[in-house]
Amino acid sequence: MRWITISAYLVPPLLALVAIVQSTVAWRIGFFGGMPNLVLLVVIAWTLLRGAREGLMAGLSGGLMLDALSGGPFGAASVGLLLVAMVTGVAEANLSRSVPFLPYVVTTVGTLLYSLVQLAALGLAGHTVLWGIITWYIVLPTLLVNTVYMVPIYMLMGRYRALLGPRPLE
Amino acid sequence: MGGRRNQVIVIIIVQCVILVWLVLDRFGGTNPVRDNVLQVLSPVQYAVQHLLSPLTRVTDRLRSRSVLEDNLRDAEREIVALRNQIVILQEAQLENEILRRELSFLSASPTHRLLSAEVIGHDTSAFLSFLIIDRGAADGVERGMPVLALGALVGRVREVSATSAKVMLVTDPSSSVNGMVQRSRATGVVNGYPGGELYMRYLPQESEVEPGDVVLTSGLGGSFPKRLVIGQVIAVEQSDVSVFKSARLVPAADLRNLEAVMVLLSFSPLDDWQIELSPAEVPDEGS
Repeated sequence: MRWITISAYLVPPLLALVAIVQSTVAWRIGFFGGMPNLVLLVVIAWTLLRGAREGLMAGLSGGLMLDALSGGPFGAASVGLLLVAMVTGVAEANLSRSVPFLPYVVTTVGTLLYSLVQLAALGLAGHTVLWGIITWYIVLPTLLVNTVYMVPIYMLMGRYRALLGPRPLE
Repeated sequence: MGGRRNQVIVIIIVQCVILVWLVLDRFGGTNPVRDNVLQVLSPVQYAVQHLLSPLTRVTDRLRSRSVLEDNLRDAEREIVALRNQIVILQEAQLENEILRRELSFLSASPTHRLLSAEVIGHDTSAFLSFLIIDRGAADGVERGMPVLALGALVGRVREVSATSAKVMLVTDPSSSVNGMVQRSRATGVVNGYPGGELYMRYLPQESEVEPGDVVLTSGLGGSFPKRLVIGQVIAVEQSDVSVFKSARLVPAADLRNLEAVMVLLSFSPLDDWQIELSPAEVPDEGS
């Protein structure tokens, strides 16, 4: 059994591309004050489709790219995405048959978890964090926007999953 | 032999008839003949014409349709080319206007040494308001330098790499700028606020501030030069029990649609402490 499949090598360049799209386009395609976190969505979708191992690799790659393109403390996005990939992997392994609409449930939980990690890291680094206002004006709209954007992203990635070969055994 | 002679005779007769016809035609003598022939032929001609006219109309239409289609295609091509030209001209006009305004700002403040930079990205986090510009240490950009757009304050350089820099916008909640109301000279501190607005705090209760007032940098603290436009007051908030009053501002620069900015190279901030984030400047959530 090979630990790393060919598809795992696709993860870093794909996530780099998505992170660049996130930096250049994402703020234009949001609504209700929320901005989609495309990297987070791709990491969740990848974990659900390819399992926890590749999901963790996606989380780390995407997180490093986001950290590089952000003015926030380095590592905040990486830690956040690794945690989200881990939770998604556990959910996929245990709940995929019992919870309907799992991708959207995981997107909701993942967005909240990622936001919590980001805000905690910003607070620890000395940034001003207005918890109440940020939750109301940024986190909740982002939750809605991410759930909406998850529909096409998950469908698109699901359609091309066959191209990546068989899913690696956990 | 006899047949051949008859043929020659027929040919000679026909030629004579044609000759006579030509001579008669010259003097108008064939008109009665022509008229009679036409009288016989015209009904036939009419019938044939009407029988064939639908067919000719179809072929005419097909021919004209293909001509029209060609013309339409040419016209469409021309429209696309003209539209492209209009877009290029509009873009040039916009660029021209921006450069004119930058030039007028430069001539109004000759001591400023500015470096133009293009915005190449925004912060990937929704919780931060940063821009990434295409100029870095190799171009002389340093941490703390103010960044402007059309003479209005955009923010300041927070991180510098060799070829790019990250700019913290004035709307970032961690941003703090000493400001002054242009009309009344009242001073306060302008903080960023989630949602893209600004809050001017610590304004004395007796100070005159009204919606519409313009707020400039005061130059206090030495982190920004004086008289850069920060924004405009849209609402004033005060209460009898509070020592200070505060004002909500909209930034003067259109921070969401910035394409190019100017880095103020000729200004070095005196107090680098302000660039370090200080939790003491956290504004109240309720305000």
